[in-house]
Amino acid sequence: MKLKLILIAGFLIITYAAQGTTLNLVSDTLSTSEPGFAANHTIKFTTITAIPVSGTIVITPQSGNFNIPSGLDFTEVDLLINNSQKTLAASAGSGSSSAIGISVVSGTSGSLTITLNDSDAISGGSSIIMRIGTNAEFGTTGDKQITNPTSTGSYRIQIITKNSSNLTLDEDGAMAAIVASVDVSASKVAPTPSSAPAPAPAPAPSGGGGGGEGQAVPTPQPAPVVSRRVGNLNLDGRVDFIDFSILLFNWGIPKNLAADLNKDGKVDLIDFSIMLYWWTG
Amino acid sequence: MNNIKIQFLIIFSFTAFGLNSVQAAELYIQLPSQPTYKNDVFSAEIQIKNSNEAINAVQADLNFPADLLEVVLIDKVGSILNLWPKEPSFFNDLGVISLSGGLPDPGFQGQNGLIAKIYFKAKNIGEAVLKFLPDSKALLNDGFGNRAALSSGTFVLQITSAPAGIKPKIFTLPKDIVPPDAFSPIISQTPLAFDGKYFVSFLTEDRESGLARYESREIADGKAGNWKVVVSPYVLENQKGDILVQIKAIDRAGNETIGEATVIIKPPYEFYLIIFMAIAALLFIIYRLLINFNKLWKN
Repeated sequence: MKLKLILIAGFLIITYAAQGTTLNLVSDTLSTSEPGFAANHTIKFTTITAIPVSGTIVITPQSGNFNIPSGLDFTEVDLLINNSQKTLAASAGSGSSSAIGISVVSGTSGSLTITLNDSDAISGGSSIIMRIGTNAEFGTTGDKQITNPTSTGSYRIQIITKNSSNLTLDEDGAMAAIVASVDVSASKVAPTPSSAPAPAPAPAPSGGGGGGEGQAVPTPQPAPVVSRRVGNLNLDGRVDFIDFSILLFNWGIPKNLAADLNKDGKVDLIDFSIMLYWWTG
Repeated sequence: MNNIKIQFLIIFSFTAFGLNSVQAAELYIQLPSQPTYKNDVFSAEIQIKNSNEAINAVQADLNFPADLLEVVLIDKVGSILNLWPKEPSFFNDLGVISLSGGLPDPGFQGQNGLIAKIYFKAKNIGEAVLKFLPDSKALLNDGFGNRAALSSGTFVLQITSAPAGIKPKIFTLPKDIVPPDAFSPIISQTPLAFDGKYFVSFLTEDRESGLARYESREIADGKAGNWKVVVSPYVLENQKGDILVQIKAIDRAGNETIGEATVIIKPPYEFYLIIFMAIAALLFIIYRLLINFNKLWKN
């Protein structure tokens, strides 16, 4: 019995040590909280332990919930270390100030791995900001976004820093609140019956907290300013031919649940009718 | 070249729409290969050709000389597109035709896709130049609505005088005894559209002469309304009761197919609550009156 307890205690200590310390001031702000919508992520944290050269930062949205689209790559990522914009590439470069590598595993069990080059480390206490999605505007502007979970709830975005031997240095997570918004715009322009209910601003989902306990608590953030009409699938403020194309792409069982306008699990003639109601052209 | 013979030329002076590349799909007008004489009615097929990438939406706006040509009819029979956010339209005064439609995933990819067939009447003798307007576009079936690389040309048709004894070609409907395809209208309600009212959506096809129109009538609680010309979607006139909606699809030859849907719309809970409270209030007033009357009687 004693031996068993010692073994269990020993295992727990090893596990704790392997997890390393927690990161500081972890947060992830999403551009939209709507279930099934594609969203930009702005992830912020402060390192505790220095990340040595060739070390990595691994961002893992909660498996089975977020969907990283195929083709999302380093062009969809901006990385700022202590407010200094870094050059990114598909793989890490060699030499001082060379590119930092971004590798992506797409899908619902996907992840993003940032690999430092072989010359520049990140010191402890550094402020890290990552923008993932179309908000990555440094160099090539991103054109793909991570899709939110399809159900409302709180979801974890795990952040782990590792050394070049893949041993964990720091670890923490941000919680992203996925909230079904009711923000249909009242600014209907089509000459059809009167407008829909006034919008309730969608809360900006955010993860925050971090700190000693490693418990990330959602932190309220200002609502994103997004002009939305039902059927405005590309969030450009209009319901037009592009949204029509996106709807058609998702016809039947939707690949992007945002296209399922009435949330009945399929994209069909009813969704097309709803889109026509909101059509701005 | 004889002046009563048609000169049929297609000039491939390509114009780029959106992205341009060597493998760009092409918006094309297939003009008649036979001579066209003044007062003839002829068809021109609007096509998308050599689409190497899957597309799911096409907007084809084209310009024609209003002094030489007049649109008689736009025919969607055989089109690769089956959903039209806006019905095809034309403006004979301005010489403009607008076609905007799409098709669901997986879209269209291929050598030759018919968008629509335009029936023109050749009003005058001359060189009719038809060209696509810069707004024309095809969107990829990629989930983002990105533009497909697209090119187009200018298409020229010579209209000449008819030789003696030749009568003008007239538009004749194809022989059609087949009614439009069977279909089922769908009645829906959502807070997202139509102010939360019940609406009906419908869609069918006619593969011979083409659909002319839809008509609808509602039979609410056994009372039949009149047939009215409608387009999909439309809000039900009756928003309560036991409603049968009949949608009649009528093709150009007059063949009909009727699709039906039913819905029972009950008044909301609040309605019953108000009725209950009104009855309760009435009973209370009657009770008070009876008490007062009883007192008066005793006095």
